[in-house]
Amino acid sequence: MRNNFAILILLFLVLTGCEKAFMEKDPKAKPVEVFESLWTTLDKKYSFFVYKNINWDSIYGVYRQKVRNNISNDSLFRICAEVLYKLEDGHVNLYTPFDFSRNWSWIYDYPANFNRELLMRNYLDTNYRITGSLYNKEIRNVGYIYYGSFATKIQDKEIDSVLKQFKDLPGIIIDVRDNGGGSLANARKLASRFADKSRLVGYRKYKDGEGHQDFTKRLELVQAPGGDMQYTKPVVILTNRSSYSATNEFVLRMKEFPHVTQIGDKTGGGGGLPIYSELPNGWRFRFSSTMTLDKDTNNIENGIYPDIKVPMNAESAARGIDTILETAIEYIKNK
Amino acid sequence: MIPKRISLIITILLMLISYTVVSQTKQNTTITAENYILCGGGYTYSYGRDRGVSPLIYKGSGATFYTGTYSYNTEEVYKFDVFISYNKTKPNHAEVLNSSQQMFRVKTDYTYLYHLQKIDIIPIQVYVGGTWQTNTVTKFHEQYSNNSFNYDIASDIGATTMFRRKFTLFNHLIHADFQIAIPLFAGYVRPGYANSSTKAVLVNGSSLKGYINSIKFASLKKYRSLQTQLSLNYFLKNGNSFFLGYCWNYYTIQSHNPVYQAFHSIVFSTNFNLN
Repeated sequence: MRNNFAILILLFLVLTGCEKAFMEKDPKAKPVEVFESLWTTLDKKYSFFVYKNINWDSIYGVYRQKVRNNISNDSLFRICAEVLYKLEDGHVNLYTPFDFSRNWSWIYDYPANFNRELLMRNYLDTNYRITGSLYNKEIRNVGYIYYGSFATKIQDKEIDSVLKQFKDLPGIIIDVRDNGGGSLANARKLASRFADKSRLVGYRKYKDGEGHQDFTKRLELVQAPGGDMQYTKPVVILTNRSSYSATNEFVLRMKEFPHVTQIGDKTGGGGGLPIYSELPNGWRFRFSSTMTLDKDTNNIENGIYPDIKVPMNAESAARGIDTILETAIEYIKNK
Repeated sequence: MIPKRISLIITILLMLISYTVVSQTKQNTTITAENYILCGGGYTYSYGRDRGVSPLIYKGSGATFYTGTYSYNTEEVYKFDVFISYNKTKPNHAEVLNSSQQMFRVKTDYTYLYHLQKIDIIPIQVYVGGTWQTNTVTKFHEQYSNNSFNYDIASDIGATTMFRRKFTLFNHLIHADFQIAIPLFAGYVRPGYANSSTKAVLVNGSSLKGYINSIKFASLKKYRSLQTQLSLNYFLKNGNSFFLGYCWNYYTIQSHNPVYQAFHSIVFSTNFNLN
């Protein structure tokens, strides 16, 4: 009897750790392993090495020699942040408990072309409606909507409410300047209310291999009408360089409709969906892992050019005038 | 961790079921051909790495609901097992940025075993046969967004063998079994890219047709699995039985984002005799 139970207990003990024989252990949480893990994950999964002409091996050669196992967390963070900066991508960040790396040159190397204070004081004033996350008001017989972040959820009933209010006006302005993105679901939902019919708006390719050029075939992005009502009178979208990520895709989807015009500055881009990963010491990072193309297969990673490029004139701004918004109002009135 | 109230309810249910099993009045001491329905649950521990979500190993505890059927006679054994489990897993250094992942798993096994009396290693009986198992594992990372959700579905047909030692304890028959199974043919579906919702990215689309077209038939190089089960079946005088098992299952799918996953489950079930 004792032998029976001894055999069973022995088998149990042998089996409990079996998978460790088949699985690699996690790398150690030492700076060298952390750096190697960061570089290797990006090497296999980052989507824009070829498009941006980045020599990733060369970057490894320069920065790997700076990493020693006795450097501090601050030093390791700075080295990793410098490496990530080379990717020139607003979707690439390193998150640690003490700092957050970023490359925001796609905003700060360009004019702002938006002044929120000016907009609030001189155009929205105090009598605008706040419908969910949509600020809206009739300005000189034109419907105006400001949507500041696609991260805030919008509901169909909120869009219905705004569209019903503006249904008799000659056109609507959707201002997505300084909208840094958020959820694609919100971008799709809002665009669906301005769709006259289902249209092919672009393509998405997903990284699906370890080579820098290994992507899936192009998957079609189709924007279909949605909700109870569609607005198909003239629509103007206002953009600046801070119109990024999900906002960039919103513009991509909207521009395919013949009644939609983009006015302002080129969008900031961010056409690669960012995904997260983590490092052996618990730090987290994110990076682009797809690419988005327009209908003509142009990559929109670096932004979408406006149909009418208008800068925000400093002198006019000093007099309280938003030249981009004024251009949009006149454009709709003259349609 | 499972909330205390749920643990209490599960414990009471198991006790009630156990009482029912013991109090059944059928007097059956000679077992020749028996059919059982199983109902139980237990503890499960997950240990694995899904490179679609993270390059790190995630591990953690959870609970398993276990059910199925079990039939045997002097020559054959038929088993159908269903495991439904939930695990909350974390990597090492999870506290740095509070990483955690929830896992749901549904696993079904159908096993047929034939007693090879000629090669019995007395007193151990030797069985051989086949098994068909289907394993669905979904993961949801609580801190990620665009790649928070991933899954894999694998189905395989394999060979299995079981060693059985019969003995008695307090005048009750006990079957001590050790079973091992390996797949010979397998098919799996695994998205090339984790996503933010259940509509994970399949190149062939997320419709039923897309799923069917995404099934890959795998060689042993692409899909490997190993399953063992160590169990004690304690037969009562009324024909019912108590089952205590330790099940270990490991599998790996070598895709663009490989997954390596192991589950350890300790399950207790009460087996109702249907004869």
